[in-house]
Amino acid sequence: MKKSPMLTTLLVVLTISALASVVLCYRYLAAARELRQLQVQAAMVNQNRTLIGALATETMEYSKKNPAIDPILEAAGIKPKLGAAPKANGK
Amino acid sequence: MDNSENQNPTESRSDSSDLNDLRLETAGLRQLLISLIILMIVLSGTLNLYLLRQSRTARADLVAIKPQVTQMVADYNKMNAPVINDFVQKLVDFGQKHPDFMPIVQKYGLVRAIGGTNTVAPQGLNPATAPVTAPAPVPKK
Repeated sequence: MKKSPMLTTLLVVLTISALASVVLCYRYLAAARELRQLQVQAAMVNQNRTLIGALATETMEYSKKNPAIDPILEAAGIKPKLGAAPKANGK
Repeated sequence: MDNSENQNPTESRSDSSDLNDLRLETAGLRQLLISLIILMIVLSGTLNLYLLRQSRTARADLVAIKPQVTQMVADYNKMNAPVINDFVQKLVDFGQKHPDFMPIVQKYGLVRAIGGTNTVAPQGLNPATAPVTAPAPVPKK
């Protein structure tokens, strides 16, 4: 069978194109994976902040019933210490 | 006797016609093959362009987001996480001494077992080391 030069050329081009597809696919998947990991990390930080905020709010509510928890809230800076000078409000 | 010597002109013409048919079929198949390869090259090229564009977009997003998230996580781990862990630990200790506070402790998943000694911070407090799973869902009031 005679080998057609055109057929050979087309096959070479197709092979190169297929290899390029593999490389580009790998690059895209790697970038997308890294991006997703960063987004998850950012979301977790924000979620934890929200969660701790809600916990602090509930603990503040609880402190109205049981002031024994006040030292913990004061140590965390959630509740101002009793007797502490109020912040200047510019007046 | 050799068979070829017995072939009459009619048979010879028939063989020649079959050969021509085969040649035509081969040429047709070759054209079809070339057309298919060209089609595949076009499809593959289109896919390459799409992947290239997606890859560039993803990398641009990555370059834009990575420093911010890295800084945010580093700040969180350096400044917030110790304070939060200390706060949570104190709340757990407080909950063990004051049973009326335990519902709040349990609601936020601060303890693994009721009355147990294994205390844990809320899941995912440390984003750099935490699993990908979301923190324990807070039940609605």
